[in-house]
Amino acid sequence: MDRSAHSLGGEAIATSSPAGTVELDDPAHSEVEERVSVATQWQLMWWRFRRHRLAVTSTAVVGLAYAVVLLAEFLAYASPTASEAQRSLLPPQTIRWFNEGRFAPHVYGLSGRRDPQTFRRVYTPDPDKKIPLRFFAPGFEYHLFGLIPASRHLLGVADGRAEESLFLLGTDEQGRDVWSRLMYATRTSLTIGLAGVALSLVLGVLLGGISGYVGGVTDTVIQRVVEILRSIPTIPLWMGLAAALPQHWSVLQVYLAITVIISLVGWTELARVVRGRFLSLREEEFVTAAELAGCSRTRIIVSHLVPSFLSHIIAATTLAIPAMIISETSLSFLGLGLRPPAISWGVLLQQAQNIQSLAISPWLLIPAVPVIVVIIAFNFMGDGLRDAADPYHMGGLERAPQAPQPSDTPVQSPGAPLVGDAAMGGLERAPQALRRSETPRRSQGTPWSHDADMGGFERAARTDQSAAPVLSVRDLRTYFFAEDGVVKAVDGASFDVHAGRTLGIVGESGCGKSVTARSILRIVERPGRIVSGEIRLRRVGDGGEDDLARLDPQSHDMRRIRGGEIGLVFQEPMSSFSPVHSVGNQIVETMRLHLGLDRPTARARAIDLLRLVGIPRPERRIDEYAFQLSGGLRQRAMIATALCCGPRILIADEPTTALDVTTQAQILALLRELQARERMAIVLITHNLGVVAEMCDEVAIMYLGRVVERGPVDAIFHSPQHPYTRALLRSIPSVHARVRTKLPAITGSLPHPYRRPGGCLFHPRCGEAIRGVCERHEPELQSVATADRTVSCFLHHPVTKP
Amino acid sequence: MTGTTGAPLLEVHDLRKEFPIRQGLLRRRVGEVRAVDGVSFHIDRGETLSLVGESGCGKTTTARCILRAITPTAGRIIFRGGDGVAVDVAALPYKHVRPLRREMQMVFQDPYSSLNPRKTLLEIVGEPLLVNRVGTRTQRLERVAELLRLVGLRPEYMRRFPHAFSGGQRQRIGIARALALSPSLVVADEPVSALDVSVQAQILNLLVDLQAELGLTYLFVAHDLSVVKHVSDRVAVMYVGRIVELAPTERLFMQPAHPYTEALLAAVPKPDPRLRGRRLVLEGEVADPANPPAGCAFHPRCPYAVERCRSEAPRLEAFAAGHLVSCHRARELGLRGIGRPS
Repeated sequence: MDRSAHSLGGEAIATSSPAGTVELDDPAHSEVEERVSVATQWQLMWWRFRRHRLAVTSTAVVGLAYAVVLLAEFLAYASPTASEAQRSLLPPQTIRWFNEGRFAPHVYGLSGRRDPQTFRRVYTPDPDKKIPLRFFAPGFEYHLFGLIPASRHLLGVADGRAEESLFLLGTDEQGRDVWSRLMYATRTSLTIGLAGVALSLVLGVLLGGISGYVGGVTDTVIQRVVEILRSIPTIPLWMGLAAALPQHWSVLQVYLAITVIISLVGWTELARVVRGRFLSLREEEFVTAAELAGCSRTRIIVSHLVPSFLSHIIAATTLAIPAMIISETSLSFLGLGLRPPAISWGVLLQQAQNIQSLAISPWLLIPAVPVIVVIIAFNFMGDGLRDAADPYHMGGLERAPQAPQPSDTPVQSPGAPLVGDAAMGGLERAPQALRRSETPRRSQGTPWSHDADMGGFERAARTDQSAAPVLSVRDLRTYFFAEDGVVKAVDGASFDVHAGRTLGIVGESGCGKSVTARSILRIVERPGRIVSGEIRLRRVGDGGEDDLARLDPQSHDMRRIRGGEIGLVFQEPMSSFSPVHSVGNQIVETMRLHLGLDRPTARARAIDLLRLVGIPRPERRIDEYAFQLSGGLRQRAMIATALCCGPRILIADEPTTALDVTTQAQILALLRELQARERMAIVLITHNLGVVAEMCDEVAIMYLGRVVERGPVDAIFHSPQHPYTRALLRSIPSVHARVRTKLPAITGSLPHPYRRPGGCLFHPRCGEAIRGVCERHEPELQSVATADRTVSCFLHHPVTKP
Repeated sequence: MTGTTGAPLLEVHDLRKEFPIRQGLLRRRVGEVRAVDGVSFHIDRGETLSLVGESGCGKTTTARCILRAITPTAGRIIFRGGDGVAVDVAALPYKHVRPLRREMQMVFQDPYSSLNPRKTLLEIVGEPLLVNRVGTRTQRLERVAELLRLVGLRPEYMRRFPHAFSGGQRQRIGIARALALSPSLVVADEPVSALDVSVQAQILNLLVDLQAELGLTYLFVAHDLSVVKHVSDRVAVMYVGRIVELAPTERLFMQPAHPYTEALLAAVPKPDPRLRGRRLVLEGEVADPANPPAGCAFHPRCPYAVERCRSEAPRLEAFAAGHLVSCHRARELGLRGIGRPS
């Protein structure tokens, strides 16, 4: 299931005793949630699919098309083979719906004669000869569903000889009715798609499954066969195979043979999908868990693996059907597939093959319309199914976006999108875009110059020695307007960042710390936006301020600031570097764009930078790719990239979370050293209170999008004022703790983003909540003791607002 | 072998696991990664042994070998289950592994990928019972309810799917599943590292409580030394496939004897700004297990390395009672532990 899916309610209250005495929250609060909690994957899939309007509409269209398949005879009014030279190439008729003011659909009778010059038959309608149309009119005899003898048709004429007077879409060269033939053709073309897919499905699932599960030589052989089959150009392959079909075969035999030919190529795609799913699922921990539980291999396959990819297979199949239909149509159009007297879309279109017929009788092209409509509908339907089938897909009914979860070692199962992908976006993906497309060109007269000595990391204008902060964030609110509701990711964050100092923004997953960083850089992804608040960045020259919250994210100024004045370091350096450019190249390009340096200078500076961040043999490493570097070196390279334009502020979002402790210590030491050297302001975003204690001068504690406490680091750790801060500090494991002691855990868990508690956000988990106050009123961030200590809690302030 | 009261639940002797490195079109074996390179330890009944180390040190591979989720290359894994008979897990033919699974279970790191999203809690927690043919349908239902209560979840939740639960709750479900067959050994592979800080403490407490109540034995795999301190009786520190130090928890933290342990302890960020600056930052990177350095694998990073360390690999030897260390200079160094908080 979705890894970022959040509980619908609360975490069970901390268990002081594992015995049944624990009091529990009910995670489901309403009937809807109760329904969602017990919904099967298929129900969830259907609910998700239902929300995809285009897909639902397309499904209706596909449904209609298959209704035609079932009811072709009933919908046709003329026998598809009834030819008559006297009626050849009749243009489509117009139905006249009213006769003398009354609803009475009718068509005019036609009289045809041959043009003596062109030898074409020319038809003239006779307005006096009105032929009334009848619904459920009698006509040629047929067997409905191949079983029930019938002779009624949806449309017809009173005398039951519709083929002589009704030509809705005209006739072909042999005088056969195009509408009626189209009905029959739909049946053939749509069923050949289904049959072909069914056959490919069997082949694909079987061979793909074997390939994925058995592995080894079998896998290699099957994969090579797939590759060979896929490398043969399809049209010549079909042509060859179709040409090999004996001429004397019956229509049915040819039909079956064509099905086989088409699916011969079609199965390869499905086999790959199945194999891929098998391989990725085998790595899922629940499969290991099942094995450890003692499940047999058969049970693992039948009970765990197959259900997990069934929905994907259905989606893939739906996307394969249109390909089959197109194949049949093209083959038959070329005269290699079905041949008359069989009727299919391709066969019908074959008549429109030459220019002459296009010019004289364009209506013969009408069968192309259902081909296009059905193919598009199938594709939309398949897209909708695929999205709905993905259990990691976001935007379902029950889940809400959430900021990336901190995890000490990143856990990401194959195929799973980044946490919080849909709404909040993976912060990790941003820097690439940033560097590639938005790298601003630094204007002349940069505030500081790059010269000798390690690329001259020396700021010329360091006027802001004063206490004035370089960056002030005031009451920032960034909301995500998701389909299901509004997520208040950041809901009132205020803090200051001073030159040469480090501000730590601390909180658990979903507290909005990463979104705060994204907001400062104006890279919040849709559907999120800054609703209110100020982000004031002090200008270098005149000491004035720019409010970043008011700037256009795409503007020249913002692009200059982003990556230029404010550098960025992300948690996962791997995904922050482009895999197709060397690390050095990315730094060089950034410097060329931002600073307007020429390539050799930029390269020399990049090497200096890499050396500065402690990368050994930078002359060689500069040409390596991110995947060739270890995690620690990658993070160093990331820091070099962030520093390459001499930023005044460095925002580091969980910079060491994915690293081992000894590497973490190295990176933290590096950041400290660089800060002392460059007098940068650092904004360190982390969930690790140990890192905060080591690194920060000031700390802002965030809870559910709000800063609840702010102050100097020593005060935060040694006299925390907010109950959340206190509880958080108590609950973290420490190497100084006595061996095997229990931790005072915070009760409950973070509430669902759509169900924020009223009043103080922390009151449901707070041991010191004042009844009648905390659940009714919202506390504000106010100072306690000294001006630099602020806390938002009624234990320290009276209620000021009703 | 019978009469198990004094004998350890699990003994691991010289465990090795090599993963071949294959290259080229013919997938020829060009070398191997020695993920686990001669690991020996034992776990007594009812105790918690933690395996600690950085990524790639072989701690997870060791754990998975013990569970026979992977087959070790060499070594013996002697397990004395409920019937007291010693079994060599490493040498068991695959088809005889299944009965053993009832005795050893695992708690996974990732509470998301370790639960099948298509199954209800009843099916997830009840599966070990079902496939091992334990009890009737009704008995299994009752057992699942009991297990859910045990881990602090309401039994009424059993018809729900994992998607309705938060990370912490899912981890509880995973623990309930591991306990279903009343195993004697539970291997917990980084069970709290994917959880939020405030939930982490809940799960750690739960694990400790369950151990006391059910008399479980834990093999706790973790990289976070502070977490380890809260749960372990003894700690084994691994580096590049080997145990470099093994000691009772308090002793290891206060008086480490291996320079790597000292460095690890120093590297843990302490949640107290007044303890800043007491840091020993280890240079360089973890050695490549496909190509470990000669001599002591730690010597390129070791601030105390001497000539002997470059050529001769140290053996894991007794340093004090119950304290093993693999370092030539262990006796002469006098390394610093974490000390008491100020």
